[in-house]
Amino acid sequence: MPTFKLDEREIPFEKGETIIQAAHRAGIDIPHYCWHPGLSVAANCRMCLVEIEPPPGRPAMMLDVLEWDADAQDYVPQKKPKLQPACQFQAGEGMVVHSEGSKNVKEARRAVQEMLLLNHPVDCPICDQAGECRLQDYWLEHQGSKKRMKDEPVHKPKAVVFGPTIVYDAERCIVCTRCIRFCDEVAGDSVLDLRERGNLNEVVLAPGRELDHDYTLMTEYVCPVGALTAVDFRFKARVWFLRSARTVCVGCATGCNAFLDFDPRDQKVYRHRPRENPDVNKYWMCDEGMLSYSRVHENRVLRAEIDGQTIEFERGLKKAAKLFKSADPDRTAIVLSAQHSNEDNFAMLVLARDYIGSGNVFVNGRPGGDSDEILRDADKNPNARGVVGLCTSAPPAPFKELATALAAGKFTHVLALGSDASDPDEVAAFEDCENLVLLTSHRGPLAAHADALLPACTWAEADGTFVNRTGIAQESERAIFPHGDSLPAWKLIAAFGRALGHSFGWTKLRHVRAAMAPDPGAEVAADAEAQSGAPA
Amino acid sequence: MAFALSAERENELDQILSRYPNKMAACIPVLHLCQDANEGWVSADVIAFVAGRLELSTAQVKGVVTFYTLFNEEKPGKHQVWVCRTLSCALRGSEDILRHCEKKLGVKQGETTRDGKVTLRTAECLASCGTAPMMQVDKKYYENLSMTEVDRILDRLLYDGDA
Repeated sequence: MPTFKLDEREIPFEKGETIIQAAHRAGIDIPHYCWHPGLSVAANCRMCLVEIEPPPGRPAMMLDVLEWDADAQDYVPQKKPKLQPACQFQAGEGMVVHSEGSKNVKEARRAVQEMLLLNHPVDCPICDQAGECRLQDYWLEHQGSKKRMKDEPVHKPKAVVFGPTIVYDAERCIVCTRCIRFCDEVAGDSVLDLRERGNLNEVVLAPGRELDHDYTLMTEYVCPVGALTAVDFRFKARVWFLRSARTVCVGCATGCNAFLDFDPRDQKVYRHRPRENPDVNKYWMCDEGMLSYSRVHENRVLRAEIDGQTIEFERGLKKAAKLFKSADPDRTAIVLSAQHSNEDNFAMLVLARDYIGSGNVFVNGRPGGDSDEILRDADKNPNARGVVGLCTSAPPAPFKELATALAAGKFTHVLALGSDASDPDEVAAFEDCENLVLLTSHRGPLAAHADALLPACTWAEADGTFVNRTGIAQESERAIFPHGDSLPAWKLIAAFGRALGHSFGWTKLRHVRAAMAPDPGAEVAADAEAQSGAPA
Repeated sequence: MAFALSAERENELDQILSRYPNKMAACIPVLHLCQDANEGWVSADVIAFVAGRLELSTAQVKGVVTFYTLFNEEKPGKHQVWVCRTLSCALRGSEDILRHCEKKLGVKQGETTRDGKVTLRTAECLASCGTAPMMQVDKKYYENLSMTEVDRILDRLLYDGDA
């Protein structure tokens, strides 16, 4: 691989790569606003200027400038090298680039930073971006001086509603055009553009339009400053109080990698945002996924319930188990959930296979929805492939078959993970089910017919593995502690097994994982390989 | 009401398009053509028309319209007066000329007289510094202005309707 020198360090690059791309990959951050690894190059913020030495034997391109000389109390002519934007300049073999090490670059960055802040309102105390704002970070790193301009700054529109999800403040905007390029290039809907020029520049909507495509929240996320704010997050939290867990979005089968931001003090989640993964979601997430974090707190089942009455957890567990004491294994149905992780479903399978002795395994989940060519999948469950992969002997039967069998009176007992219904029209079949026990995090459509509800954790409160639509097994980290009496579903299943009188000894996640295949995604991966005809 | 071009102007549009490597590149001349056909301004309908013809988003066309001062976002007066305010003219009294015009027309810069006859604007350098101060009325230059000369020009616009 060819290399170039950046501040005395050898940086490898691929042909055609720009200086900033190669540096980014090597883990060096050249300060920038408008450049984004997933978007086209605009080179308009000028923050990434670097000094490039001329090729051997060639003179450097020098510019005539006037510089203030404090001793002479006058401007004196000076020569300075022409700096280049690292985001646009392609790296070349043996090129010598100075970034942090160049006095000229430092001076340029200070000047660019000062210019970007000229008309900025500096309203950080009421700005949601504060704490993760590049203007703040770079002011500290590259400027650190007070404002010198004494004129009234240019005033522009504030709190402009762009659509149902985004509010725009033109005074905070540095016109980097990231949001515009995101809409053009990724979302494929050119709904934003700039109006005017110079210091009157601002981002505007297309006439008669709203910012209402399926990826609007990403415009806020790519905004390096506080110009675009999300209606959902506005004034809800200060980011420095938040911590992030590395999770997987459970909104659909794509399994976008995400950060779930939560406040450890009140154990609430506040935000879902994309985590870079070139194999899955690149840098992006859809609105549906980014807003799906709210499920952690909405419509939860947090206490045990028997026949609709809240009950103390241990007593509820015993009463629920009692329903199953005399169950005939052949007339018992076990329902897995594509909403739950591999660990949870594996525990359910072990309970069914090894302890209850029932082979009547079904799979349930949320009903399908919209999809597109960008990220969103029609299957709104994060682990459908994982569940199928776990059922090695026979694939689980769909929810609809369970409803049909119930209507025909085939089952007397149903133990289900989750309370969703992948076929909402079929829920009525559960009305007459004599013994329906749900281990569920949410009050889904089945909950109304349940004889016992036991509280399970959401994905935010438990570690787990999810297998996405392409067969990639991904781990999701716990963010907050379990709410209410809820337990991670695998733990709840083990407790239920013990209440039934079995020696279901798992108490730690590693017990589950040890009992599972060494690699939870192995079967699925092997399956995918067999299907594609590649040698095993 | 949706905007449309006459057959003659449609011909012109096709000719413009044939001169450029892609449709986007023809945005400015096409906008000028449509502005002329729409009483001198670019309405939302015109933007939609141009965007449709050039396969651009309306946001992109709107961006071009707002970038260039020669595109009007509101209907201008019958005549447009541009008073140059850049250095040479400023040194030779363009400020006073502008004040004088404002007083005489009864409008501020950027506004149109109530009878719709004259729009008063300022311009950056119109490249006639040797004959400062100067102003442009529609497409014609008036140079080495004096207040009496300005009065005469404006009177003609207001009362004769012709520069």
